[in-house]
Amino acid sequence: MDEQDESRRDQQSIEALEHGGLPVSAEARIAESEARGGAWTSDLSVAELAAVRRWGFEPAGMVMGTSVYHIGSQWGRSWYASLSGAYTSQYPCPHGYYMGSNEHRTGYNWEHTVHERGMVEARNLAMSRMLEEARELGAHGVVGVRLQLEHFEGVASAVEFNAVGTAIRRHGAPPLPTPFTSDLSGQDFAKLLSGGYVPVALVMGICAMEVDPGCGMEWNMSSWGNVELNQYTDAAQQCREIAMAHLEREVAGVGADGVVGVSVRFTEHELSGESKIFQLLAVGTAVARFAGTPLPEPPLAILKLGAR
Amino acid sequence: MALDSSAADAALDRLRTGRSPDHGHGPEVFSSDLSVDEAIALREAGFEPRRMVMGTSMFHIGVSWGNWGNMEIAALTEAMTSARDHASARMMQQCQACGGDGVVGVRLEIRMHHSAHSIAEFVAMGTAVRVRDEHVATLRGLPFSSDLSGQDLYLLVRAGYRPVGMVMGCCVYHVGRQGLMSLTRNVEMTTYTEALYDARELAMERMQHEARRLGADGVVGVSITERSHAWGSRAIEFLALGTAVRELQGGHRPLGVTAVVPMQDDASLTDPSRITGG
Repeated sequence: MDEQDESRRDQQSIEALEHGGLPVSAEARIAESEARGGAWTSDLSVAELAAVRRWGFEPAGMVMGTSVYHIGSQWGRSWYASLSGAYTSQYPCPHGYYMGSNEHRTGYNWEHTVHERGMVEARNLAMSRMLEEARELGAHGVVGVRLQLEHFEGVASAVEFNAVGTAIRRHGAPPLPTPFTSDLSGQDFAKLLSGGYVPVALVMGICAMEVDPGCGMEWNMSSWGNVELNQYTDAAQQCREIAMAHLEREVAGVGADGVVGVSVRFTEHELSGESKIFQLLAVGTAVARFAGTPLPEPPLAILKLGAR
Repeated sequence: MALDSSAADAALDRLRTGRSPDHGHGPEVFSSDLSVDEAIALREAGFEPRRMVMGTSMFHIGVSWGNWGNMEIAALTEAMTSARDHASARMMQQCQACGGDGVVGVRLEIRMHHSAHSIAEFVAMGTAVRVRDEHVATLRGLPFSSDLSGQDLYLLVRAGYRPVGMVMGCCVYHVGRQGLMSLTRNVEMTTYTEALYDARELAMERMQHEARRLGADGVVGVSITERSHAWGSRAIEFLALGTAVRELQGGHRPLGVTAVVPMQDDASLTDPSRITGG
């Protein structure tokens, strides 16, 4: 391939990405695996393969979706946040008189909705590209999805979402409008079906909360006694609650009954001055009940009596 | 055992139509950090998940004064205890707000922020559950907490017990210096032995006291951890943590014992979540 072809390919890929499609190389890989028929790829272990076969599914191929995304900054304080319906809270000076070197300063906690929306959008792009590959393979779902979030090297405001997993299909079953996605292993997928639940989608809940401490916090910090830092506590508590509420909203949005295996990642970034940003990211597999009781296959409890 | 895979068609139909067969819990969705095994075991044990609940407390740890002998650092013990209590209480508030009867799989985490100020962040999180089964219905009305997994709760209920609450005992201790030792003789370093002994006993006694207050018959799964956090090696925190249990009125339903040959290699045996039941 000469240079001209290559730059034309790159141009085509970028255009495709801008229109929500897949780059040329991805289309080519998927088309090739379809054309050969039967030569599927998967990152399933043998046990996982056996488990998905037990329910009549077979691997369709490994699928992937990637997006590198610039997350916008959010300047201005609570007045801006309150306009967008975000959480805000104020911590006025608790003393009302001049405390030594400290100035009277009101503290603010406020939610960064621009950041949250950016992260959700980046995740959506990566997931929808992975789903597009799965759809082209005629898959009914993707198991063992690993959703990775990396801060893109060298660019502070850029994040990379990457989703990889193995698409599976059930022979003879009509296609689904949206294949399911799940970070469960093949065995867990099989056990979930035995338990009467089907995975719906990998869901995410996020909250980013800025803490701009007021003079009350400075006063607390200089204490010789033990004292709870209410502004920090509130920020962390609200951050967790809001992220979980966002997660549950996504669960309801995909028509699921609940979410299992949620993992949470709490991070803290220092900003200029005393300000910090707390971020909570919760990810799990939304599941829907398809069977009433009794279950299609009641679980067999096993108690191992051997040494652990 | 049925090996018919047609239930998979019912599963795919559910995704196609978006209709749920039993609207047991109405429009509410549940959230949980339960693994699939835990979720199934909990259902079997008569619980259903409601929401993942979390409580936080950020604490500024003050200054403590004392001599250099063996002694408890009361101010630190108090800080560590009340911060954990605050975090747990907030978690239980969330549990009650979502109509849960208790919280299972509780994890207590602590992060020390190594900045100019001594800030410690305490987090308690777990999955709030509701009681479905009449067998454990006596649990209703008192929100309990437990650090047991779903599988352990299943076994606990089968063994004839119910959880009443997570109990905790904490002791932050300053270990004094041992005097000069002889170079050639073997001798016990009694100052250190006494310090560690004392601290462990205090932590366990406090945990026992909490269990008694809850009217428990016993405590299972006690773990004792020793950590120095950011205080240097001479100040050690001993934390005793367990789940207080009480006997169920219905007595126990013994488990049958079945010999099992797992069809997986040894590496996967150590991870119970990787063994399939089908």
